[in-house]
Amino acid sequence: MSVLTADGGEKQGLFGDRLQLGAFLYVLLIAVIGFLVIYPLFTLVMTSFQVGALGRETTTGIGNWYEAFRNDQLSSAFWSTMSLSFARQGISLVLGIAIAWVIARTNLPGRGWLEVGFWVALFMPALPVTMAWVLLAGGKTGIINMWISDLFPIITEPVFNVFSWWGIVWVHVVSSTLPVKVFLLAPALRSIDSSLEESSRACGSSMIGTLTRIVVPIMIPAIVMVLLLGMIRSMQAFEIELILGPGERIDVYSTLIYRLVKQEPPLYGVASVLSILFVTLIIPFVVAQHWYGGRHSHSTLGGKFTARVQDLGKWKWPIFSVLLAIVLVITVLPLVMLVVGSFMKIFGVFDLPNPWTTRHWLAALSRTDFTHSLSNTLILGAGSAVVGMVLFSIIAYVTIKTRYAARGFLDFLTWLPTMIPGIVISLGFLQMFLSAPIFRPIYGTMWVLIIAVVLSNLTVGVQLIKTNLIQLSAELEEASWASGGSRLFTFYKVVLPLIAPSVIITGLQTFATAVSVVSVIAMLGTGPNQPLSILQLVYLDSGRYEPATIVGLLILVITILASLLAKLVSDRYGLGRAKMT
Amino acid sequence: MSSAPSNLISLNLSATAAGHGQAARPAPKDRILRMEGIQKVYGGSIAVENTNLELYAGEILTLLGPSGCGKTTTLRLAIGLERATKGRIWFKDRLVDAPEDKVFVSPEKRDMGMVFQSYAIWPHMDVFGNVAYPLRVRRRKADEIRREVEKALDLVGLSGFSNRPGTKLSGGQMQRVAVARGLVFGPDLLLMDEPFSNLDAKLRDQMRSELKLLQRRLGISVLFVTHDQSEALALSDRIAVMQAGRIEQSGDPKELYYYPQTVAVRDFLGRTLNFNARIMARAHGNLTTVELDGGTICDVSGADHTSSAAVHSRCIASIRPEHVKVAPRGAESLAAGQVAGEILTLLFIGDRYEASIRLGNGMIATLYLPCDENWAEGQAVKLQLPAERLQLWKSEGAQ
Repeated sequence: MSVLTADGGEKQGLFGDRLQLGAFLYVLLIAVIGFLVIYPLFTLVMTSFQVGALGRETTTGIGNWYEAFRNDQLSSAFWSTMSLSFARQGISLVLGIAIAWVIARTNLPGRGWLEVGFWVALFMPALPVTMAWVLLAGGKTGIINMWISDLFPIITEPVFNVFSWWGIVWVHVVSSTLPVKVFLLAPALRSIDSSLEESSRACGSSMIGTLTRIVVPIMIPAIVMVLLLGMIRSMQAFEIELILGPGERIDVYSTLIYRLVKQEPPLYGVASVLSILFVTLIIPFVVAQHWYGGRHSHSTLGGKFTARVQDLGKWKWPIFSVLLAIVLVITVLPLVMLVVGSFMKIFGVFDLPNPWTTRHWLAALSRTDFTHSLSNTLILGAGSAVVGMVLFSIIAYVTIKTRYAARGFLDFLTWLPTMIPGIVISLGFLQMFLSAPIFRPIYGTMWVLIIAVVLSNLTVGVQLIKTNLIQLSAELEEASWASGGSRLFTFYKVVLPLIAPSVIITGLQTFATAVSVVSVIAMLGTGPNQPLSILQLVYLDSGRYEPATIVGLLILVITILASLLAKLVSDRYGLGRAKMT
Repeated sequence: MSSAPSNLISLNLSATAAGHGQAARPAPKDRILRMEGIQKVYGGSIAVENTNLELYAGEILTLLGPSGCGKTTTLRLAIGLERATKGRIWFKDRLVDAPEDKVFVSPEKRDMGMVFQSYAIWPHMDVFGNVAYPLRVRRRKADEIRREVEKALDLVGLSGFSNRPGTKLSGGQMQRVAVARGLVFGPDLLLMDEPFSNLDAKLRDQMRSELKLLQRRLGISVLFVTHDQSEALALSDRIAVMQAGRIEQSGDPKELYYYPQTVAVRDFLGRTLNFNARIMARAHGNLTTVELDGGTICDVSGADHTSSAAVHSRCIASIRPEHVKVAPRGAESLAAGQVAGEILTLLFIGDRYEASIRLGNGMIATLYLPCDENWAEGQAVKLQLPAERLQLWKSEGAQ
């Protein structure tokens, strides 16, 4: 680790004695982050060895471990987790490479707008999208299936059923896995020198041949990284499986843990055992990602070059139509379904004399739990965004630009949350509050949720700002010091304005996460601090689709607005201005 | 690393160097910057070791050396972007860095101007904002700031560029903005870290002479860092050649070029032809007779760096290529101090030829030949090595 390598002799920072306060704050920062990341995991380990119902006398033993392994739910959850993850990663990767290439390196009409479509889809929260697909293809009452059986009366069984293994894969692919691939691979593809492609064409290779023989091999490091990252995230997925899984009695690790805690009496011990096993299952992928990333980080980027686009020729418009259809299916269709659904008397039935009604909206808006949750959601979003922006910038700045000892440890702490699934963070925090009385006062308040959301967003947020900070040449700061500016003045006048775009985007991204997050707060936000996302989960879980639709719609609109704003900021100011280095 | 003799010795060698030293050295009270016994250790590796340096009012001192020799670290130590691990640094008689005495003045309190290699033009400010920054930090009044910035921009030939955004500048313009920013608050010392290395060759030459003019006009002291020897020779009043964290030799450019004291300085400044040789005889005075490998007998009357090695011991005789006289060779036999050769390739580069010549001992020398002669590839030539231009060095490996 990098703690001991560079600058061994000088770990005090440039300004030595004058930074005593800074050093103190630094220690405090490491202590707080370290505690919040590590302590919940520690409580999980402790709880896993506590046998007996919570609140009563417990003994220490391995009963929970025995119980967990005896139960064949564990192995079936393992297979479901893995098979679902591999299936959707495989499908999304192939499609994603093709789409990203077409968007990044060809003269496809409207490619900029299509990319915005994938960006928006990426931000769209899973639960509302799942809701929309339930309305479209949820068994016999799914609108598509009803239309099919109207057209062909001989077909009585639902043709497309999202309450199934393939349904889970499908909703994942359209709501997140495919958009993520396009989002990550398109910029990487843009960084390839186009003369590499052109020389292949000059050698007589076709466009497809060039893609498979030149572009994809060059992109292997980026593709492997995207795939490993995708596996890590897929294995942690929660809410889609929770809603769609019961149809075929499919449970993955995260939903199994949730059910164990939600059942009466809750089995915290067994859930803790499962959480630990869950984390150990993910660790190899995180380690592989770091190992591989460290070895291949420099292999795709070239120096100066012009990225010319390839001519698609007669395929231009057919490909455009297909991509447009995909973008509409993953963005507009769910939105329209939710809007239409929320205004229909009976969902999907258009041949009533007057099929429309505002009854659901009026009912929802007059419910106090609805308005209360809405204000909770806005507080959670704004609070997480503000706390996140401040904390992430400080951590990023400290790890990149200072020479404190143990920066490497802080870096490690910011990476740790990637390997802890949201549902495990949730359970760990819950048990932290249950076991340590000093934390009770904040239990049930918005602060708990804000801390959990900020923590779950730690890795991404810090990484985003770090990428921006790295591009910032040290000389820009040094020039300010040399000109007479103090360290604080320099941070305020030079560093902050230059990283402002990435800080704002991080804030918006944290806001969007906070608004739509489910797994991280599933066990924490069920009291008076219940936000919209949990309210929707509760409605869906109890089959009340109409209010769930309206809640989902609200979440969707809020997150789409946040995503468009983030895109606007990033396009306007660019993440990494020219001539910064 | 073993402790070397103080580099201060070589600093004051100019007087002994056959009258090529600068005649008028300013009195010590005009000393602007003084570094004494400076050491800088990063982790376990030593970047700068036992370095002594003095910079006088109104002079340009250049730190010259290959990359990684510690020259930029020395510059950064001067302004306080790095802290010395040993030694003392004074700026205008004020102690600014002395780890043993727990003294350290941070860079923003030192009042030195600095121009960075990347120029470090802040992209979120326009030209005016960049240049005004040091004045704003010093809380000058708005009208004074405007006046001083205009003056500084005028000085570097950028008047009228005030409102140009920092990102909309060419390399040369950024360079000028950086210089204006370094000068605007009237510092006594300007530090420049390879400021011309990102410019194209033509612009580099132009900026070089502009900088020298500007420095003469303002009478400011400049500590300049470069790895480009021709830049150092052209620009400097004095040069300190650095190698592996130490100052090898310092003095005025001519002194360093004609009278290098160490192999590193000799090889870094300009090119040399090195002949393996054996000492045949030592006459009175400064005259030594050597036999080059291949049989040529030469008299040498230039500097002798072999510590007066004994007769028959091996040595290296070196000469600058421009001091070698090349002539076509007929059937005549060679005189003393002459080496036979054959032109392998002849490249016409405009004002002269660049020739690769294979010498009798198998060595290949690159020499410039005048255009007024008719040279041809394959032609036999003879090389005259003037005795006063040849210098003797210890044989490699025989240190």
